[in-house]
Amino acid sequence: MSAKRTVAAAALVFAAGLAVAHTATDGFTAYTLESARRLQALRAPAPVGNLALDLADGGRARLAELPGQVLLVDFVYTNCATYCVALGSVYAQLKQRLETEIAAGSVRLVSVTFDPARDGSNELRAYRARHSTDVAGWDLGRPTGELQSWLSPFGVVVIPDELGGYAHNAAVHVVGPDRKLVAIHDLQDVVGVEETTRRLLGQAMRNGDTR
Amino acid sequence: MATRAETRWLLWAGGAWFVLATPQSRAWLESSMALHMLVQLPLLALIGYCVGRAWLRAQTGSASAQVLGRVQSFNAGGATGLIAASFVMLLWMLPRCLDLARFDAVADVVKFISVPAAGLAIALSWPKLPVIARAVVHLEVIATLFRFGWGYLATDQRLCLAYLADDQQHTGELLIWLGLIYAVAVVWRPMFGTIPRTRSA
Repeated sequence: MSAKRTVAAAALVFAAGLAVAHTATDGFTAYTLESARRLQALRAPAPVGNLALDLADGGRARLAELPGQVLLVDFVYTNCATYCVALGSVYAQLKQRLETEIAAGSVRLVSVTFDPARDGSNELRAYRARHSTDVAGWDLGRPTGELQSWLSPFGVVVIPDELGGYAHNAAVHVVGPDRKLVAIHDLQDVVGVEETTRRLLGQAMRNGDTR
Repeated sequence: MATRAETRWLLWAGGAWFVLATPQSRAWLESSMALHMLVQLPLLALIGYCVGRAWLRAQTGSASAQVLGRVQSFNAGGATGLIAASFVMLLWMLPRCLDLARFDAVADVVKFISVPAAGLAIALSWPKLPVIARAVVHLEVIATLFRFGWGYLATDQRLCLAYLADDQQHTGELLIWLGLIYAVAVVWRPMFGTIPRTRSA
């Protein structure tokens, strides 16, 4: 009697355990929060159009108001000696690779600082100047309002690194014509960013989106 | 009626749970990956384990002993409890779940309930587990500590967004040390302890 009950209960517990593990890891595919947010961007793109920036070149704009069908957004702080330097050079590469699209105004690079206390317009412009002499098509800005309201929808986590700087999940975030976060690429994955951008531009052209 | 010893254990366990659940101790123990994984999680499991041990000592015929009997009738050989505890402990060791517990209060509440429940399940299941199954469990615990330890050590990436890379390395090292210590502790007696002598006629 006890054995039969146990087999039934153990089978039930095993099935429940598998179901919970399946849900908690998005079908055994995402074991880290970073992979989870990337999967989330692909499966259920978050709207980010209402987020606004104080632009380093002057003025204030919501992402929805920025020109360009595709926005490539990254999060940096200008005192960063590691990832943000790499991101800067990735953006310089993207500026070359997507030169035509950026010149045509269909793609725009956007760098957002998560250290607005230290990063003013001058610091942001100096950061851009370190990586590219051509400023066209690359916006930099400080989040208006709560910083967290920017970080949460993008799934960006910033923690102090005990050296006066920050540890953060660096990546290139692709925002589509409908101003939803549709993909997140590793910062080394320049080719992937380019492919996703061209795919979105192709789709936008087919849909007759002329933003 | 609970015995005095039983009540004392329950009070200790409940008190310890509340201390761990205070915002201050949560903030402290979840501030580093090593503390979160190797101090807070084991302490929560230990609390559940103590409750389980106290429950097992419930006086025959008492209400709690009757409930225990009913629960244990679904746990022949300790199988059900051990499966449940394995899932809970494995899941909370994943980087994603550690991060979630740090960032999401609801997830942390789930952790504060499920991990002690896993400890309780282990306490109720262990005495019923056949010796060979105990050996398998020991082996699996050692393997899991090494697996997670090596995983956290070997990767260049920061797996938890809430914790720094150094913290992750440190946790990996500690997990491997823990695996080693656990392995030595488990095999010491059977290998080097006193050999049971055959009774002389």
